[in-house]
Amino acid sequence: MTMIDPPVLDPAVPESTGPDPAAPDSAAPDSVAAPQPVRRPDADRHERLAALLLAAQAGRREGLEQIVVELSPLLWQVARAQGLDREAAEDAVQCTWLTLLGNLDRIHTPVALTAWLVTATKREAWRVRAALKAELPVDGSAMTEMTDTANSLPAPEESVLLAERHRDVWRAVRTLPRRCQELLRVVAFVNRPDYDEIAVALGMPRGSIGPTRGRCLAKLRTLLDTEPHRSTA
Amino acid sequence: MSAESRAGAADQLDARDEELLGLLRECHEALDPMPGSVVERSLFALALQDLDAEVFRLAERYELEPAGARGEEARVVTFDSDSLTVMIRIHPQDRVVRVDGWLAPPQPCRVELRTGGRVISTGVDEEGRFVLDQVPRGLAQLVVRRGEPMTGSAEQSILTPAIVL
Repeated sequence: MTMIDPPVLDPAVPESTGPDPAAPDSAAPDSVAAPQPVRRPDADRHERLAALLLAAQAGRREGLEQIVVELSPLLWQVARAQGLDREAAEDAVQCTWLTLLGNLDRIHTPVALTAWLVTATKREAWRVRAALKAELPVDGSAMTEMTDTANSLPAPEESVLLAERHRDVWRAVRTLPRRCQELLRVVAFVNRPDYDEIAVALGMPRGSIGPTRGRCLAKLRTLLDTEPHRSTA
Repeated sequence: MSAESRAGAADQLDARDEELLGLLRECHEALDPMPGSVVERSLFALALQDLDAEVFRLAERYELEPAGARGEEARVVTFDSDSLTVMIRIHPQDRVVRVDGWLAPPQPCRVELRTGGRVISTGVDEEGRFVLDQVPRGLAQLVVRRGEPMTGSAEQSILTPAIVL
């Protein structure tokens, strides 16, 4: 079996460590230590993804494997934002990758690849939910096991994992409409040049993700500015 | 600045927006980290690189009464593809597991279980039942290979995602 250490991307590390913004020794939680703009060398990332895509299409396994390493964290967020529990989300992401194999030849750009994967993951998530709904009558107890009831995000109190500046953001985000929560969750993991394609993948009219994202972000900023340290939960 | 005027700026994210998205990303990564097994299992499932394969998707799963030497529960997992349904019951037996399966609708085919070390293969009876015994624990993927030499077209395989036995 092939195992790759997820090198470049952080999120695939063991749960306990994680990127851990709350590490007690992390420098100056409030002022300095702005988030490292890790995800912003967009152009580089695009080029790399383009090369990997070509390699994968040529049947080179490392190409496909690196794509899996690179984009699984985004797909995980998409599946979870659709309300799947962790186990079901894992299956949905896997099925997405399996489905990609038969479609690789039709995908020509990194942006199209990302959009295709986001769409496919959403579809997989819907299928899982539909299957479970169909099989379960009224009380739907197993349904709630499989798809988190508290579909919205964990309460900030649970988030001892978060440093203070993260907690404020988290509190504020949780008061946003669910649509905004889902959108921002996915967008936070997407490359900027991909927004437009991702909009379509998320079922929004092309071009609309900009303004919608803008509105969601604007609301978030307003919340943070007006209620700096109040829990609204 | 109002939400509207900011919205008008479409993709003009300023530094504060970028910072917030970065913080949000870090929140999600800290609170709901992707398990490393997502990548591991995906790579395992992709190893066959069968471009024409159909995909079995999880349709149902539940656990039975505790059984087996370790008091582990047997699990039943059902997968659906466009053309076939397969249900497997996984009995833990000490260091190995036994897999009882049922394929519907019944048809001539072979069932393979890819595990880390080897491939275990068996036929299917006329009722669609099959048994895979002495299966090592760990990651595994079920592959159904249809046996009908159809008119010209190569037989198509159907793959499950990788599961943990």
